[in-house]
Amino acid sequence: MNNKKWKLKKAAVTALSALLMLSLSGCWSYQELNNYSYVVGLGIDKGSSPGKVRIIEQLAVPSALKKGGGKDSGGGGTESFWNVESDGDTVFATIRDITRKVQRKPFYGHNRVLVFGSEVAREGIFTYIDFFVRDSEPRATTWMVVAKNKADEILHHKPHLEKIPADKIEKILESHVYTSSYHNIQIREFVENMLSEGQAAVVPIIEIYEQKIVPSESKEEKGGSSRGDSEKKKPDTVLMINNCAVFKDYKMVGQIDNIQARSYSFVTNNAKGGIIVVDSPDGKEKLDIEFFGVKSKVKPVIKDGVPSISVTVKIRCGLGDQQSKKNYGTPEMLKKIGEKVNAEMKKEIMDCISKSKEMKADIFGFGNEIYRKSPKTWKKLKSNWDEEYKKLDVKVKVEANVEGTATIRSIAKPGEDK
Amino acid sequence: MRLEKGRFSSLELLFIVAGLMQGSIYVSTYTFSNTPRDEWLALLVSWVIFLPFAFVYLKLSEKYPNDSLVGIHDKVYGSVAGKALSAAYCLYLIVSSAMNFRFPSAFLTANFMIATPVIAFAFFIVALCLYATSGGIESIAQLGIFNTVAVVSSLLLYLLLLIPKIELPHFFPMFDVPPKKFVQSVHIITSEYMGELFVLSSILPYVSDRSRISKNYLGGLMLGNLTFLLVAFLVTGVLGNEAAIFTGPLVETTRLVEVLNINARIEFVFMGFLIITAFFKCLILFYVTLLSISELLGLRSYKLFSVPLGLLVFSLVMLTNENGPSLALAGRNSWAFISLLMLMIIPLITFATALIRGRSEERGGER
Repeated sequence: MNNKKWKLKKAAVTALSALLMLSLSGCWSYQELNNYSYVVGLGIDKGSSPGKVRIIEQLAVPSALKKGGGKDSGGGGTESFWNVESDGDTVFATIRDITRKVQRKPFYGHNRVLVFGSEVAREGIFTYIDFFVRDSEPRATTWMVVAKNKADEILHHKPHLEKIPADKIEKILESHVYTSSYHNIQIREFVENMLSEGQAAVVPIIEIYEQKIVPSESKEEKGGSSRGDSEKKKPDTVLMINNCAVFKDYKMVGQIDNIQARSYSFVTNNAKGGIIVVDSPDGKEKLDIEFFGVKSKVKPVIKDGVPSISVTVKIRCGLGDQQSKKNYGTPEMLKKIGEKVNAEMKKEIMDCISKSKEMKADIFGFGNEIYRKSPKTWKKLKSNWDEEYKKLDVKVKVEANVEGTATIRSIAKPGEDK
Repeated sequence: MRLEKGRFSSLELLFIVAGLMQGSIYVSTYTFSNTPRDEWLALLVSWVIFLPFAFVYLKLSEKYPNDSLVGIHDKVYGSVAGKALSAAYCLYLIVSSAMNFRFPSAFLTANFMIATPVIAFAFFIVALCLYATSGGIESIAQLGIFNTVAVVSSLLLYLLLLIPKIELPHFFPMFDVPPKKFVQSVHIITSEYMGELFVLSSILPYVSDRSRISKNYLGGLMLGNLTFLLVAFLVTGVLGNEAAIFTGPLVETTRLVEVLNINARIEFVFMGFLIITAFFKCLILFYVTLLSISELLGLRSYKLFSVPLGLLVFSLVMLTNENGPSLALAGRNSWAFISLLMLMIIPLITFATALIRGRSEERGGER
């Protein structure tokens, strides 16, 4: 018995000792927290001379974050972030070169967003993205965005509410669930799209939007650029996602607008919520229909070797806002509103499909669906997919179920709601 | 000749069989690069192909219940030819051990601890093998249970966490893989992941309840294969075609765990279990090599040779395959063929020879 116990103890000691191998990182690969700086955002632009790349790293400043951050928020005069840039021939070399300017080695494991300048995106990002997939430090779950102009501008824009621009970008991206008018994409999904048969990818475009209102002088919200008396007259600016870039073979080949991007989200099952504006059944007013569940099914049909696609989109929605006193809370009215939603969404989706055909960019992955259904058919189409995609017959069916009118029927006195 | 005094149960054999197979899950990159979508199919086909070989291994052990691999060779081929074949096996086992010691070490340094030298891990694994083998087969067998529980539970945990990222369309179209690549995947799985079970012939004489060996051996094979199927489901479901581009698709899959923005970057938990299971495989190979060489050299105790063998394997780890791709290439291309010969073809010939010899001896007896 004692011998058995001894053997068991020996087995346990062996297993625990094997786990101790992880602690070897304390000998060579040790990483002291205070010897590192933390990259939270990273931008890629064209460099100052031809063939060069410019990397902008946004580093978090933990001491400023702890104190409350921001120059004017009583945070001790230190910004919560620090942008450092460097030009070089290749991404990794340039990133490493930044350590000549930053005394603490930047760590990329917490990078939240990768911003590509529009010039870089149009030229193609294949040469820039390799490092972020290959290296073990950056995460494949990092978000990707394309700057309307330069990545540099985006990462330098001081945000409202948040202390760090990268944080703000991440939070805007996460807010897509309220509009579905852009598509969030992580590096891994982008690469997966690029590796899939004939598929293009959709990446949100971020820009600096100039508001018409004069910035608030409140100490709590210090927007973008306003500082000092002369600057107070400048309009406030905010970071905003507007439109989405379409990438084909790692190159940005065009854009889709916000409504088209929403249709894209509908077809690809990425729409979580948002508002569809439709005409009322009598055409006298606009109704806001809030959708809170979308399920779509893309079905390839191959007939005599000719493929076509059938898209069915099912929407769960409800009346969210109206301008009149009319009561839409009857089964007949809800059905009529549903028909309006069906027509509107079908129109929007067809418009998005047409736009993608115009760009010869199969953003929906219809080619991949055909490949999955019939590899033989796909092999015949593959080499000429751009042209075949333009000819592809796509049928769209939308089935909206308007489930109710939220907490009221209408704001009307009895008898006024006719 | 029995060099081991200890005994282990047939249930512990089940976990040793499963553990030896599970120790290969981190090298699944060999096959995912060929069949990122159809890995599960390659596994099932390999299983069907391998079952008759498992039957051969068991029948050989049944025929020679008190003999290790060296003893079986002596009896089947005669003393001289048998010893020569056993020497070839010992050489195979030494090189195989060195490769298996090298792979997890190189893997860890490439993915997690870049500044740590490969030899640091190799030294640690060798030292731990020396410690573990000093306890004999009994403590190794008990470690097998811990290993299987750890690896299966961690995989199930990751499956749970990765369910939102699993996409069933990643598995389609099925059967659309170039035949050459599919055959290569099946070849690697059969000869390397499964064929390695042949080396367990050296420890089968130490199973205490022999009547249940077959049942638990096949149970272990089933458990090992199910673990591989689980890995295939996870990797293909999450990465799809992307699985082909990664050098460590399984680890890359675990890196994608994200639960509510708070439960991310937890792949190191999995790494701990992966280290244990990789180590367990190294330990089994080291122990079997030690037993076989000691028996071949006619030593009274295998413990006498453990330190020299440790040094030999450690030296080979340093000398062989100085970079990851060359190790992977050797594993995928040349080693698969050597394994096919050593772990499948020769055992088949040995079994056939044993049958023929047995019959002729029976006839001789009758006369």
